[in-house]
Amino acid sequence: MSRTVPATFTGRWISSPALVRGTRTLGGYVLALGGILFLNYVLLRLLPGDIQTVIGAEVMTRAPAAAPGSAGPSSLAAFGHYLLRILKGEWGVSYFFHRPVLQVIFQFLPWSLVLGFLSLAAASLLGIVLGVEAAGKADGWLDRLATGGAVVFMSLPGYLLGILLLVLFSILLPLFPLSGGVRPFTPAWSLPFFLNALRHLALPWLTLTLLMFPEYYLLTRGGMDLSLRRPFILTARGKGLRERVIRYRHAARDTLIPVLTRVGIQMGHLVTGLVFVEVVFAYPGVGTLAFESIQRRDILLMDGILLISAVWVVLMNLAADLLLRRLDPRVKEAGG
Amino acid sequence: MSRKSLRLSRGFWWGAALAGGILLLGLLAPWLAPYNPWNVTGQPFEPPSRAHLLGTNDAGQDILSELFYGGRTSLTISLAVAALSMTLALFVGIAAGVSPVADRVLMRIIDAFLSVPALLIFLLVSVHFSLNVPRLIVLLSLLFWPQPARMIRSQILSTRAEKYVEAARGFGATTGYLTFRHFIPALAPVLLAGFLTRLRMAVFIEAGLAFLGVSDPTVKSWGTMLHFASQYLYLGCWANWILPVAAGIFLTVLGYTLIGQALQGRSLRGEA
Repeated sequence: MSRTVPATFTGRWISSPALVRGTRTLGGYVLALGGILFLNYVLLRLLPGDIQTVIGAEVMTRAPAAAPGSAGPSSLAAFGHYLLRILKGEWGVSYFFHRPVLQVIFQFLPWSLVLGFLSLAAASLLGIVLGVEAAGKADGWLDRLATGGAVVFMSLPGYLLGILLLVLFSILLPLFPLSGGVRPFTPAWSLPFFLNALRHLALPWLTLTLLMFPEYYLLTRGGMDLSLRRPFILTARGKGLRERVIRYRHAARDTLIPVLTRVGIQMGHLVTGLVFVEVVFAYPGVGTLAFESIQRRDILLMDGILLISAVWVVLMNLAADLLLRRLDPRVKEAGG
Repeated sequence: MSRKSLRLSRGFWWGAALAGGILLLGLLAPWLAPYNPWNVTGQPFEPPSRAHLLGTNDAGQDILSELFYGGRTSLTISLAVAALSMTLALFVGIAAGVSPVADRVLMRIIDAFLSVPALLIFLLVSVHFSLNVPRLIVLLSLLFWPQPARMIRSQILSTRAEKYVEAARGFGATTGYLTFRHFIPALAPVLLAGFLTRLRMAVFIEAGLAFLGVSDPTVKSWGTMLHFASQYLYLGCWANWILPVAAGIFLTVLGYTLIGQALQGRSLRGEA
């Protein structure tokens, strides 16, 4: 590994102008979405138990025909029809909630968004700051502590860390509630509502933050090691700049790019992390909803969740790409 | 620098000792476990005693024996998944790195794979095919190959740009020769790092799926133990039930992480 530019951009035959690469990236995302839609369509119609087997035999006798929406998976026209419906926003009705799928998802989504963004922000901030500070004094106490912490938390899966924190802070020291998002029947949008929601948020947030920070920490720490040895740092030192300015404005900026790319990628992992952590804490987010709707064979709702999260991941990757292009002039110059 | 490399290699030995020790415990499970973990050998929820060192679970089975056999399952699955997915990744990565045409197609496929939230797909499929161990291994491997494949490809691309490859090409080396003589040997660190990451991910996700209750509940695994144990959190038996399982998963993965960190050492930039 000689340099920091990802090998993608140094490859010899990737020398087409930025525009071409831009459209190609976009094309990739479109293809990805198409693939997801198709997978979505096929997989969900392959599931063995349908609504009728779950609801019971009574419905079977009353309506023995196929469940609504389960067209044959081989029919291309049916797939086209499905695409059209998705585009029009007609995602079907959840049989469990008796409400349109999109409505149900948007009811659960805010909880997950708050949890996800707050923990991602905390994790990346913590990881970057710790990484920069630890690299400043290599082998110091902070470096040892942070690296040790990162290795420990990398070795704990989300559900396990969640359960351990739950035992620690809800059972041994009953500081935080065991489960849920907010105490029932608290009037919405009032001050007690927010305070109570925050109390419920604390443990899932802590779990996700601790889970995600090692990745940012290790990336930043490793990158800083390299960039602090680069000539421009020597120049900055020679100019007599303060250590903090050198670390954050010069060295960290050079390191930030792979870290930010990783933030985009982790958005996808976030969905996975959310499922486990939300299930452990019975938090009323999309993760719990996904898990429960699979158990209830609520096919259309599951369909919708998968689609929403796939679109989400694609959008976040795209955002990371665009951000990278803005931040790093080398990406444009290399034509890559 | 010397101090640092010393510390890293110490981490490596700790990791190797942990991973090796747990592997040994898993291999020797039938001889080490005091009971058959499927047999009911006590009352439900017995606290730890001389007869049952970690007590019994909700069905009256010996938790210590479950722990040994559970480790066996985790290790088998994670090793198989890591090997299978890295093999797949190697083929795809080389194809993409060597042929520009294959590269365009494969990279788009990889992009598509990476933008699907794997766990959700996994939950879906696991409902469709009731999951036994071989199916789990195949399915996990199918979901785990894209990321290392991409890393293998970028490594090949940067090897291609090296002067010595250009020199070899100048002497008339064929793509096949370059692949076996230059590209594959340069892949060793990437392959090893990928393998370790896959191991870690496989332990996590296998136990996670069992914890969510979507894999075969009759298979003794750390995940199924967590699944049942977490339903009785309020009984206070977590100390002898959840903590040992947590320690098992944690120490196993800690071993892999330490080895990985030590090997990656200077270039933490890759896959952390």
